[in-house]
Amino acid sequence: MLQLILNGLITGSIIALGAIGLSMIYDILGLVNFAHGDFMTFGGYLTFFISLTFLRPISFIPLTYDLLLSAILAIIGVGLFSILLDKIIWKKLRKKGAGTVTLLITAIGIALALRNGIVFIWGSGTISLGIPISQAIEIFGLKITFFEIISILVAITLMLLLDFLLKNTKIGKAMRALSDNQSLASITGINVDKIISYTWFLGGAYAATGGILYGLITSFRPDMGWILLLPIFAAVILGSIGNVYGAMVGGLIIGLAQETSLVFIGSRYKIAVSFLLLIIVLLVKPEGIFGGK
Amino acid sequence: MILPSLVNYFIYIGIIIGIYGLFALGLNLEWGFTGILNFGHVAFMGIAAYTMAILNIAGLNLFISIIIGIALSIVAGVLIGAPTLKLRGDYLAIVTIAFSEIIRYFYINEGWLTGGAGGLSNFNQLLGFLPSQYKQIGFLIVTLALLGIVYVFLEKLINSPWGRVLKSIREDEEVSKALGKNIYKYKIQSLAIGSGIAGIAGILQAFNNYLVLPSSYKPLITFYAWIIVVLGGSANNKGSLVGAIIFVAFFESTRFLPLGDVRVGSLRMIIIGLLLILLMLFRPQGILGNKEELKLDI
Amino acid sequence: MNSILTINDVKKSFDGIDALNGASFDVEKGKITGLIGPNGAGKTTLFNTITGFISPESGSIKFEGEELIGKPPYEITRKGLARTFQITRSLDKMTVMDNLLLAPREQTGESVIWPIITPGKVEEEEIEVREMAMDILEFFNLDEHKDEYAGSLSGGQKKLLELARVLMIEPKMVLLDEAFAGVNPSLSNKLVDYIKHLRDDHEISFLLIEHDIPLIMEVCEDIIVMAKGEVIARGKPKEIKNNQKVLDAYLGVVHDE
Ligand SMILES: Nc1ncnc2c1ncn2[C@@H]1O[C@H](COP(=O)(O)OP(=O)(O)OP(=O)(O)O)[C@@H](O)[C@H]1O
Ligand SMILES: [Mg+2]
Repeated sequence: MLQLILNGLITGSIIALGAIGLSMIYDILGLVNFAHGDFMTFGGYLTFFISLTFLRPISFIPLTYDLLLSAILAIIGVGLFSILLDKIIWKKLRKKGAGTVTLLITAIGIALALRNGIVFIWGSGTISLGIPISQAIEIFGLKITFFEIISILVAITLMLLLDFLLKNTKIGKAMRALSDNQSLASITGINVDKIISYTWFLGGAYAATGGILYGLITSFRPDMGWILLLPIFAAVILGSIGNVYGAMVGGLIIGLAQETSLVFIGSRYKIAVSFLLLIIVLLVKPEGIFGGK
Repeated sequence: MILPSLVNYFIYIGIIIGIYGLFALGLNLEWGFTGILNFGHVAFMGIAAYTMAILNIAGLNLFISIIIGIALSIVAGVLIGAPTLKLRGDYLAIVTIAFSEIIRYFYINEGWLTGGAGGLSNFNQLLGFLPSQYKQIGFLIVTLALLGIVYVFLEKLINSPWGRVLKSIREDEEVSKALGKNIYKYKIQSLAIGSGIAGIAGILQAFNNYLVLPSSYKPLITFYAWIIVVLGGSANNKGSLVGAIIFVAFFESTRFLPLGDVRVGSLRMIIIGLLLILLMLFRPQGILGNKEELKLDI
Repeated sequence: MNSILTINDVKKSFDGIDALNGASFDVEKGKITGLIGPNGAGKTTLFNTITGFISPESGSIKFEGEELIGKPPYEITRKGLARTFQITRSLDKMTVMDNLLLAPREQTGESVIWPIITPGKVEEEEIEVREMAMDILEFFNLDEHKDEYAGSLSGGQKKLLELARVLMIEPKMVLLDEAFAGVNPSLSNKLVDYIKHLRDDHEISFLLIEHDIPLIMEVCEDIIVMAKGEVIARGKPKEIKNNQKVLDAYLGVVHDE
C-alpha cells in the first residue's frame, strides 16, 4: 500500500505540472485547452530531438548533462511555442470575442496537428533517448527509480518556484490580479497581453517539464500527453479552476486515487478512476474543493 | 475487370458517407440547433452497436436486437443528460468525453461480455439473405434510405414549433425560460434524439465492418463528427451532409499517397487540425452556415 | 382591495450586499402600477425574484394567491405572469416573426411528437398564432420587418419587439423593466395608450419600472417607491410627488444619475 501511495505521488506530481498551466489558462482566457496534453508530449519529443540532433554529434559532455541541457532547452522551446501560438491564433480569436466553442474547436485543431506532426516526423511507436533503464533502488522497502526521485524533486521545486513568482514578483502579482478580475486589471494599467504571454510561457514550460519527466519514467509515445489530459482536467476542476495551489493538490489527489484504486478494482480501470472522479466532482461540486475565487 | 471493383469502391464510399452523415446529423441537432456541447457523441454509437451484437450473439432475433440497441442509446442519452445538462457548456464537454472514455474502458475490460480488445464479430449480417453480389449495393440502399428518413424527420422537427424552441435555447436560455419554456426538457429530448441517431449510425457501422471494436469508439471519432458539422455549417442539416461528403472524400483521396500508412494517417490529421484552426479564424460559420443565424458560442 | 400579486418581506443579498431587504407590497388587479427608485434600489432584482430567475433567502411572493417562490421561471410564465428584461433581449438570430411565434403558451407543436404525428393540427395552430402575431406587429409598426432577423432592428425597435413578444403570451400580468427607455416620445405615447387599452379591455395588470417620472406619473394610478432594497413609500402620483422621504432618496443619489 505504501508503495502505491508513493507511485500515486509520482504520477500526481506529473499531473500537477500539467494541471497548473491548464488551470491558469482556463481561468484567464476561458479556454479549455485540449492541446495541453500534447504540449507535454511535445516537450518530451523536443528534448529527444535536441539531444540527438545537436548535442550527441558534438558530444564530449556526459549523457546526464546532455539530457539536462536538452530538457531545459526543450522546456524553454515549448514555452516560446505557446507564446507563438497565442500571437498567431489565440490573440486573434480574443479580439474577435470568440467564445467557448470556437476556442474549444481551435484547441482540438492544434492538438490534432501537433500530435500528428509528432507522429509524422518520429513515427507512432515508442522512442528511446538511448539512456540505460534505471534500476529501481529500495528505500525502506519501497521501490523507486532514479527518474522517479528526480520527478518528485523537480515537481516540488517548480511548485515552490511558482508560489514564489506569484507572491513576490511584479509579473506574478499582475497574473493574480488578472485572474481575479480581468476588466479591473486592464483598467489599472496592467498590460494584459504581456501577462497573457507570461502565463502561456509558464503553462507551456510546466507542461513540457511534466511531459519530459513522464516520458523518462514510462516511455515517450505520441499519445502520452493526450492520455494524461483527462486526468489533468480532473485535477484542475477538483482543485477549482484558476487556483494553482488547487491544481497542485488536485493533481496529487488524482494521482493517488488512480494508483491506490489498484487495491480495490484492479489495474484495468486505473485511468477510468480519474474520469469517474471528474464526473463526480462536476456533478456534486462543480466549483471544486477549493471553492470559487 | 477494373470496373466492378471501382464500382464497389464507390459503393463503399457511399456507405461511409451515409454513416458519417447520420452520425453528424445527430450531433448537429444537439449542438447546432440546441447548443449542447456533447463531446461524447461516439459513446452512443458504441452503445447501440455493442447492445445489438451482444443480444444477437446471445440468440436474440437480429431485428429486435437492433431496435433494443437503438433504444438503449436513446435511454443512455436521457440518463447522461438528466444530471449533466444543467452544467456549464465547457463542463458538459468534459463530462461527456470522460463518459465516453469510461464506456470504452468497459468494452476493453469486460471481455466476458464485450469480447475485450478483440471485440465481437459473430453477429448476423443485416442482409444475410441476399445473394452475395447484391449485398454491398443493398447495404448502400439501406444506409442511404435511413439517412434520407432521418434527414426528413429532422427537417420536419427543426421547422416545427419544437425546433423554434430549440433555436431560442441555443441563443438565449434566459429568454426562453421567460417565455415559459422548460428548457431542460427540450435539451434532454434533443440529446436523446441525437443519441438515437448516433445509435443508428453505430449499428450500420457494425454491419459494414462485420465487427464491433473498442477502438472504433475513441474520442477522435466524436471529433470527426464535430469537424463535419463545423465544416458544413452548424445548425444546417444540409451542411452536415456536405461536410460528411467532403470529409470522407478527403480521407479517401489521401489514402493512396505513397507515404506509408502511419504517415498518411498523421498527415491527414495534421491537415484536418490546421483546417479547423483556419476555419475558426476565418469562417466559423462553415461552408453552408448562415452568418446571421449561426451562433457558434454559447 | 383585490390584489393579483402579493410580495411579503423578500430578502436577497449578493456577496453581503442586501439587494432586497424585506420588500413588501401588493399590486392591485387590473391596474397599472409603477415601481420607481434610484439606481441600485433593487427593482430589477425584485423582478428577477418574482419571475423565478433568482431565489430569495426568505419571504413570500404570491400570484393570484399561489406561492411562486421555488417555482422555475417557465412555470411562473405559464401561470400568466410575464416579464421583459431591462437590457433588451431579442433573439437576434431568429426572425422577428419567430420571436413572436415562440411566445404563446401551450402550443401543441412545441412537444416533440405532435409535429410528426399530427402535422395538420399543428399547422392550423400556427396559422392562428401567426395571425395574432401579425396584428401585434402591425400595431408596433414592425410588420414590414417580420421576416428580418431581430438582430437587424434598431435599439428602440427591439424594445418594441420584446413588448410585442410578451403580449403574445396573453398574460394576466406583465412586469416591464424600463420598457420605455430609448423609445421615441410619440411612440411611447402610443404605447401608453395601448397599455391602457389592454388593461381596460383585457384586464391585464401591469407593474412598470421606469426612470421617466413624468411618464409614470401620467400612466400609473398607483406608485411604489423603493430604495436600498425596501419600499419607502406608496401612493397616488400626487402623494408621491410631495413625499419628503422619496425626495431624499432620489437626492441622495442624484449625482450618479
Ligand atoms: N447578479 C448580481 N450579483 C451581484 N450583485 C447584484 C446582482 N444583481 C444585482 N446586484 C446588486 O444588487 C443591487 C440592486 O440592483 P438592481 O439591479 O436590482 O437595481 P435597480 O433598482 O434595478 O437599479 P437600476 O435602476 O440601475 O436598474 C445593486 O447594488 C446591484 O449591484
Ligand atoms: Mg434595474
